[in-house]
Amino acid sequence: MENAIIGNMIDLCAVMMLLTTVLAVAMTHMKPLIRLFSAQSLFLAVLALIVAYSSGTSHIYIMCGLTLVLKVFVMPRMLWYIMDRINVGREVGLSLGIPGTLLASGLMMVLSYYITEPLLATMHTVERNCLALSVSILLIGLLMMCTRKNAITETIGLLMMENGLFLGAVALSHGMPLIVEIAAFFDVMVAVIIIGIFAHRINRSFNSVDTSFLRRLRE
Amino acid sequence: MNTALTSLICAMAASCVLCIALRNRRCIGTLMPVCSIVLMVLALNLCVPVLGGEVIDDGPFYMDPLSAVFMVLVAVVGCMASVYSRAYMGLENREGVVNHRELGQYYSLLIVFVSVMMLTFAARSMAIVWLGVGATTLVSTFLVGFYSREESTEAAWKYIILCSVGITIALAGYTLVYASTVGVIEHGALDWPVLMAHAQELDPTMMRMAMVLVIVGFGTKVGFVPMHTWLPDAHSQAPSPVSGLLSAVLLNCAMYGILRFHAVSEITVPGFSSTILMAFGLVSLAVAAFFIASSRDLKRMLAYSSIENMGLIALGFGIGTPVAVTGAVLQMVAHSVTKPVLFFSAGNIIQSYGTRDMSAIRGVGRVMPGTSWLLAAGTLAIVGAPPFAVFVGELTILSGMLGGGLVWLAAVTVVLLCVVFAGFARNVFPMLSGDPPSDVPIDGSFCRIAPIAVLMALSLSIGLFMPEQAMEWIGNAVGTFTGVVG
Repeated sequence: MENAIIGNMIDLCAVMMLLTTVLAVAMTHMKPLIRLFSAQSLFLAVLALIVAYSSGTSHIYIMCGLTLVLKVFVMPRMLWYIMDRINVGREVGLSLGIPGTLLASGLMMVLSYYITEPLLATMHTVERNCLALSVSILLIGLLMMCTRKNAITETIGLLMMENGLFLGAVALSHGMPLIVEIAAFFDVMVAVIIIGIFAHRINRSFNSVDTSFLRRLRE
Repeated sequence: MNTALTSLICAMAASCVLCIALRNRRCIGTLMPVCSIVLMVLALNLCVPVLGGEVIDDGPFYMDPLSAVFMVLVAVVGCMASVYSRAYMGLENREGVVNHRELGQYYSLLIVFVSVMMLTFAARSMAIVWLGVGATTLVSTFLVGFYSREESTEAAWKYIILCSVGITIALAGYTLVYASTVGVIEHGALDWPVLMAHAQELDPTMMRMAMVLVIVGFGTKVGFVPMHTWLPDAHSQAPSPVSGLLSAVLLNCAMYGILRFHAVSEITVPGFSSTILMAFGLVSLAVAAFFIASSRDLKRMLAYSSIENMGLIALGFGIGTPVAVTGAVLQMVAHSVTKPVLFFSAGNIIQSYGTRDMSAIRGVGRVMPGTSWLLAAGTLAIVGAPPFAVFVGELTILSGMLGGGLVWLAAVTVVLLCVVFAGFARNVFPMLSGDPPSDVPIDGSFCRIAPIAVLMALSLSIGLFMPEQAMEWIGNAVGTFTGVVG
């Protein structure tokens, strides 16, 4: 009985993560986009907490704490800060319209169920859903990076991909070894800082963070 | 703990701290090359016994002949790039392109970059290798975007965004590898000797998907087509000593990540990842060959040549017979010592002529005879003319293909290599002859020619009289691979 409830809650969190990702794809403004990233990270943290509690794996608590501190609070603040320092517009800068991107996201979901199918035979229902959802979030995040022209939006796409990856790691194998998780957090953190520096530089050179200006290096 | 390893790591830490602390002093331009020479000596001291077949397995560190080959290349090329930087960056500083503070930043980033790459190859856990590959991207982004021009900023942006995505995808592959070890390996699941020992018992379906993700992820950084788009930009915009390093050793770092997992997966699911490697290798080779032939920008052409060589190396490892793998290792060594020759001599030319457009550069032979000779020799070497090292590598890979019964693949490769040859000949040799413009400034210091000459001599001696010892070392490196695979 208790197992079923836990399974349902894990499922719920994972689905909410996907939902926030899809909503993020449909956003046209920067501020709600950053809030959605916060929300997605919060669901990841809750999911990690449930998994840690139910499986008794203590190091997932650490991962849960890191997610909560870094991804729910610190990184969104950092993105706000970068946005304030550079005159990023409130628009996200689309190269493919919202309906088109949403349709493509739907296709990504179907695709992810298709490609994970061979892996599912050996798994429980909960793990199955989480794996497919994790791959969907990865793919949608990638899609977001490809279809947006704004430096900050591209960064958020990367961070959302990373969240999808952690969802897969937690649900599938009850987290990777702690060192990998900490390494990954550290890496993302530094990457965001550096991306911030370069967004600032792009802004200074081109007077905008619209990366479609970055078309000088061509054959 | 192994004393050679301890002393190398202490020296790395000391040089990084020293260079960062003294970055605003005038002496940094001498200090950093000296540090890198010390690192090279210590790395050689560590690697020579390992190449001879000794395996260091010590806490978080693990080195076998394969990682030693990679580390020696980083040490040698890193040292030459630092010495060459003295001439290159010195001139930039005198001409006012780079101020004193930026010069200090450059040298401290460079020593950190080289140290991180070396450490990557000494790690036991694949997680540390992943972290190392990620860290090299982060450090080198600043080197790629070193000139604050618009083009360099764009190149650095593309570089960090694409490689971050690549690294994330590779990590997804790691997740699946780890998931496949649950219930099989109790402790140290991502340590690569442990993975190798249990490779037979891992879940094949998981491993298949993991390999796709790992090869695509790290392959972004190796420069496999179609994920290569950052590579020509980054190589052409970075300062020339850095371009040489990126091309000769950074790409190897990511290749190393792929190879370790490739070895494991070839036991779990034979023939799966080798097919993917061969496909990426062939596509990269083909696309790069045509871009080389149509390039106008000197450094972009050299960058495409790196893609071509990485493709060839991937082909060699993909075929997987002992001969082909030997060829691939040889080719990797040959590419790493030959490519910096080209990038550094290109750096000399570009600094004097002030342009990268090959049709605007004429008469190098008269203005800079030393550089001209080295560029000509380097060009012949990289396109695989005898008697240079690349010739030996390419020939061995081709004979591996024929030995494996892949006649068509060999034929296609030969045709593509001819295209590369023609492209290089058409683009490079006209630059050397003709009348130079009247106002070409010449800077012929020792540090400008010596590192190039040393690398060229290495390439020539590997091709002409490969010592028995070196052949045995390469055989050992191949053994860590085929000992279990072939």
